[in-house]
Amino acid sequence: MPTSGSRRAETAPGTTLSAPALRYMLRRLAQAPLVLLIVVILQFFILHLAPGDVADVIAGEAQSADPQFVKKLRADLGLDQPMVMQLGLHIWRMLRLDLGNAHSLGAPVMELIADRLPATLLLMVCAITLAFFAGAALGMLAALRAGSLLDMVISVLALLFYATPAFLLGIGLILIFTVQLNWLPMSGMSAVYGDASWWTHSLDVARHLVMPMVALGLFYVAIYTRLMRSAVLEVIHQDYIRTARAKGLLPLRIIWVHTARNAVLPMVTMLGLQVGSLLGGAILVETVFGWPGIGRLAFEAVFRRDVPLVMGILFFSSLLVLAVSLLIDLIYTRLDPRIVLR
Amino acid sequence: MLSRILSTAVAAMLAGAVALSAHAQAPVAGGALTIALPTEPTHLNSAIDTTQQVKVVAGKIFSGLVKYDLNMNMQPDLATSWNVAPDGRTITFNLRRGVKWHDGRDFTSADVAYSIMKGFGPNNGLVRSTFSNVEAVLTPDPHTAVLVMRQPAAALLNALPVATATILPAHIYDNTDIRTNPANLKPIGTGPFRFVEWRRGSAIVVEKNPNYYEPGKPYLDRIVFRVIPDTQSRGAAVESGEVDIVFHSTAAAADARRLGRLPNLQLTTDGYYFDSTVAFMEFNMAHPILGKAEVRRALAHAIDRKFILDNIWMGFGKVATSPIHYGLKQAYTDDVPQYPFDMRRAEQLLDEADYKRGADGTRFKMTIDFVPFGDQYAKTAQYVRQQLNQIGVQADVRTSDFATWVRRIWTQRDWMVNMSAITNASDPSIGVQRAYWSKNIVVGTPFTNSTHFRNADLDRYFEQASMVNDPAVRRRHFVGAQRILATELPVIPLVAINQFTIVNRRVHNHSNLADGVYSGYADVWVTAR
Amino acid sequence: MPVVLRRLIRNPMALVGLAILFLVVAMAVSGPLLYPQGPWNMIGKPFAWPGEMPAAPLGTDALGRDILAGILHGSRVSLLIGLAATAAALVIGVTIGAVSGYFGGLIDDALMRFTDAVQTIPPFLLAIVIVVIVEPTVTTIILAIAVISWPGLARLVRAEVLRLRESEFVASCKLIGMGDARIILTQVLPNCMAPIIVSASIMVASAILTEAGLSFLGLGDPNVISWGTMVGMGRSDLRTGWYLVVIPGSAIMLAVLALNLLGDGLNDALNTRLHRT
Repeated sequence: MPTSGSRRAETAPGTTLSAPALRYMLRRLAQAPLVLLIVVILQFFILHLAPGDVADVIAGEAQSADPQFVKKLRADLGLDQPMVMQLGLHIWRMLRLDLGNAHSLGAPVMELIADRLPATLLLMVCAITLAFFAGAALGMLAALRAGSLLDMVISVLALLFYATPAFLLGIGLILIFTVQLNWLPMSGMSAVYGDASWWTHSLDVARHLVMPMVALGLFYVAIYTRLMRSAVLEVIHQDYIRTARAKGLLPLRIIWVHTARNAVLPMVTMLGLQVGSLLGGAILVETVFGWPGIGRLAFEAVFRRDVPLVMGILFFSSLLVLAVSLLIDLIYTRLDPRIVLR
Repeated sequence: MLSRILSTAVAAMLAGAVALSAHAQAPVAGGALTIALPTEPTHLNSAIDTTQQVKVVAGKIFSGLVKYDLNMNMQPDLATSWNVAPDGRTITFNLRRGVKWHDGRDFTSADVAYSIMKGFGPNNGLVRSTFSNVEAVLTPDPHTAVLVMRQPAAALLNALPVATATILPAHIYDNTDIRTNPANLKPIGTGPFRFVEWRRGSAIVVEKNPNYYEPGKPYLDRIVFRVIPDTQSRGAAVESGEVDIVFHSTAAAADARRLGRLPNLQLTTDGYYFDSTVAFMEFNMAHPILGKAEVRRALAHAIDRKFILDNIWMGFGKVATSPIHYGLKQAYTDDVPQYPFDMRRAEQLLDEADYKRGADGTRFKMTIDFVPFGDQYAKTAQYVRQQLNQIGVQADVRTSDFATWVRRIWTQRDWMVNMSAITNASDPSIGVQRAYWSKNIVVGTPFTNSTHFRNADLDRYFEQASMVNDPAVRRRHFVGAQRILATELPVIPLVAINQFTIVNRRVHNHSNLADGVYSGYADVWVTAR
Repeated sequence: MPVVLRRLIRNPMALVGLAILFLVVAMAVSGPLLYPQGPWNMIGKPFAWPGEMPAAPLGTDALGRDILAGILHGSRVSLLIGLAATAAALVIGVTIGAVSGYFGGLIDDALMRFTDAVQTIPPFLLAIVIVVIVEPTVTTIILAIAVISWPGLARLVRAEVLRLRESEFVASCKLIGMGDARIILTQVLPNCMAPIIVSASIMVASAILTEAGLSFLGLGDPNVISWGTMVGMGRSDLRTGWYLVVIPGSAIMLAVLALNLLGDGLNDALNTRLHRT
């Protein structure tokens, strides 16, 4: 979201960045690390509010009955240092992008994240793409037939999609498509092992992707449908369009061009805002479908009090959200610099 | 005429032969097996970890000294024969020759020595105390290992299944930190299967070991362990044939019997001898009210164990009379004090113990904790809360995650009642003693004596039983221990659980060993689809 | 105000939303009246389907508890959590947004960076972390949901306050020497009510959804039954009785739908009035 600036200035949209716009972008870029720092500190404190730490978990899983062992474990993991020292060390390591080792899994956090992130990204990208195009199509349709039964049906559908929790949707899809019809696999990302062609692998992943993608994306289909609908409506209500329609013409091309200009901005902004909530939705969907992504990994990490892993994932997802929002801001500014300086 | 009789006879014999061979099917080599993993393991070294997901994979990659059939008769594995000295303080194992580690090196007695003295011996939570008796492991030659013990350890020979007493390669582990050794993630063993691939979050793949020491085995080409974290998904996966085995009761128990009745599946409770878990409700003896045996006995009458067995464990098990599992026939007895379900008696006993109902109907308040594993203990906590509320004990349930729960029960000790369970393993000296022995009260260390129960007679019974080799004498001591446990009631025993496995009928020999799915699976074969 | 209400009632979708909400409130009120002993009692055989047992019209769950009792009592919990979390988020968000927008400058920068930071952490993940760290109870769940909900509202309020502080209204108040706090409370905020009210309705819906998600993952308060708890408990026995999930799930959906319809209706009704002025 664009932040404050207080001078009014006019620059024609579509030209290269004006000086105030450039200054704004630079300010945003400069402030990003600060935001990240606050995020890191916040996360650190929240996680250290906990009673019980990962040493308890590891000891518990080893069913180990040795106080010496637990003490040594704590010392090895640096858990017996004073809080401020741990925070300082932590920030220093984050700066070097050294996310450390996951205590409970014995593997470097970076490696674990790198292993599981692609699955989540695949899921998120497919879900949001589905949402974007389905939402745009439905919204356009609803607007063009505004007030008709079709419009009402689409609007009600959109509301239903918005109101259904992703995990419920996921369970429902499984009940229908796996239990009843046995069309689609209900868990995991792939079931093909050993040597198989690239094509077989892709097809297999695609089959596994269908239900999670729909479960995650339907909520955003609703959002985009409504956005598109109101954007198109705004365009349609312009006088010259109304005149054309009164004459029986349906100037689709003009509608499309004006709509695009009108709708693209909010749609794109919405995308930037939704990354965080997409990640949250991914946790639930990955749980229901056993999808091997970082959403599920994060959930397990919290339960195992694996602080480095949780911090690593939080850090990474915050980084992702920041990056996307900066990108959106850049596009936003490029497309309409006036807005920046309100 | 004669030729007619002859030809009929021959035809009959042929038919008989065909029918017989259809029954006694010969193992077929080849094929893959898929097993559903409820949680992804953190590593694959079962010597230092007792969780199911580590054991089930490690059991295929490593070998143990011996195997056990369903009657707990020992059979050769890495040891071809063994011999206990008359005073019970020396055990000699003669080791198999020609066994190679997956990296090509030879297996020798040095590996056994390392594993017992530095591997699972000090590090495996389940058998630590059993093996703490071993003073040294002598290796007079590369194929002989001699255990020298301070005292006889009767249970030791019952404590050698591969996924617990895992024989690790000394040449990889010696002089390293066993917890952080990279081989924990890429294990090298002597078992029938070799580690091949770990797709994080997805699956672990092991393949046939071409140099396995049992000729012609293993029959399977490959075993895939698929990570399926959701209970419902696992049930659906085995139903549709996507996986072949769902083990250790990790499908929804309410669904299990239905699944077992399907034509392509079967349900079995065999192969969990080393589990033998008993679910109970334990008390913090340090609590002023619950520290009194009369109160505990009163509360025992308010709980309908049959209801818990039928509705929470779905009938998989039996009502328990003590923390010792009925499957451990050499030790179990049900001739102990029991507490029939009788709400009025519960109220009466509480009145007699001088905890009458106050003006608002409450006798005293209670907080119930439970081990956050599966949902049965949570459900038991809810059930018990309801029952206690009805007899005037105002109870609240508290949820914690595993780390908090561990810390609360063993370190902070700010708890009153805890729904949990105890794994007997194959012998009460291994699994049960550690929970009630007064010498195992160690604040800050998990899975020691959590109730802080102290009873000199009980201590004596357990100590004697662990040192004596005569089964009849041991039984006498165990019976004595059970009587004390059932009278003093540091825990109210609820259900002796039978774990179940749901298996596709195309899989053969999956549960013919005492450690079932946790064994090497060298004998397992599958019918082609 | 009455004008807005009239406009609201004339909107059919908003009317549907209001009707459903009325039903939900009725459920919440009738819960303790019809089932004074609470939803936890085991009244009969487990896994009875709806209609199978006359005593339990919506069936029983895995431990033989009455589903209808659960739905009625659950509505109170879900509503309580939804309203309380939103109220808390409103207090925090409005305060921060108003202060930030009114005073501008360094305060604005600092507060907005802080808001950014909180917003950057994926909200549901943050809620999970908080609830797991601080033991799941109704209070901590309300707290966690409030923490993830206030940033959006703060931005909204800030934008409105920014718009309003340049108005003549505020300028004249300053001239006559009115204190800042009074200006904010009596002049600025009342004129932002419209978007805040609309947001509030959406926030309650989203709080109910978040609570359902947390309970589904097993992070609900174990001493109360909410709709989310029922879905979570029913999930492990899905194949045996899918009604265990579908019934409370439908309740969640209806409540969220109703709140969204109401929010939409309020938006239309209030905006028309704004456009007139």
